[in-house]
Amino acid sequence: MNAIMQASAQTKALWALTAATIAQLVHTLYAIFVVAPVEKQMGIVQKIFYFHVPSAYAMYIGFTVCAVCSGIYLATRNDKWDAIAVAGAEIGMLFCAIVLITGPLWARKAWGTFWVWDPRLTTTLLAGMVFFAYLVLRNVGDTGQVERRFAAGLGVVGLLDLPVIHYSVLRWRGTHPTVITAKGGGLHPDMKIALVNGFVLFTLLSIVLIWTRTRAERQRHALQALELDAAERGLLEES
Amino acid sequence: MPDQAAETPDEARSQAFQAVDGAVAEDIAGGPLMLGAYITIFVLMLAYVFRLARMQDKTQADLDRLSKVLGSTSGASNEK
Repeated sequence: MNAIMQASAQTKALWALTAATIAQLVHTLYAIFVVAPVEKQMGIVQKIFYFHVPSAYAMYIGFTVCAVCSGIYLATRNDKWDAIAVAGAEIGMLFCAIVLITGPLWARKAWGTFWVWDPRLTTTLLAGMVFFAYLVLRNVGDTGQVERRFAAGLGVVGLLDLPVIHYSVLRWRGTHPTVITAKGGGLHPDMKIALVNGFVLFTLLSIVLIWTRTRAERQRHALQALELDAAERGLLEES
Repeated sequence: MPDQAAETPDEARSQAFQAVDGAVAEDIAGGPLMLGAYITIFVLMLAYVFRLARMQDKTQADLDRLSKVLGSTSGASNEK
């Protein structure tokens, strides 16, 4: 009974958070397209920045959640952590795809080409490939304990690339903008409002999506355990 | 590792974004690129949410099937 009440409270909290995320989405779009001015040199394409940078931040959140929870799973073998790690990898990959698609669209205007092998672009692509491999491992065929542990190891290794992505723009020569880093000259105040709203939106989005995906994965784990139990008792042979 | 040396003008990269003064004049049209970026973001998000919903539906269907099997089995054992 207590577990049912707890699940019901969690569902309500998740719906409330989803509603807050939708409200924040509307507010952010208003800040981007109404409040923030058009940028002097790049023009309207600079507005990609308000979703591109927070997407990269949400990608860090997803991949970090995957790596940390994979480490805990390896130490404890508790399936709860494995479920959170899978959710983190998927959400990180979703935002990584957004970063790797929106970035080149901005670059076409700013650099005259969709892609350059800039350190930040290359290391981001590398992180995407590591966590893509993690997801392939988790989704091809039946995932047993060995596959889970191997994928968890890959998730932990993937964490090593994240600080490299972050500091590559500062330590190595490249063409990627440094607007919001310590080296940068900053943003127009109204642009800052839009960017802060973007960060709030993508924080909420990553929490909602990781939470929802974790619940789905845990339900799948429970279902697999029930099916295995029923099969061992010979109950599934009739169906 | 030494800090990055001073950049030549060719290597210079954006360090600030400023608001435009007066009318906007662009050589490559940025509008379609920006629109493409935002459409991509919304399509990817909606596709992922749709995938999550399908996954939940499948889990629910499997649970219903399993419940039916377990229910009929326990019913049969009660009759015995």
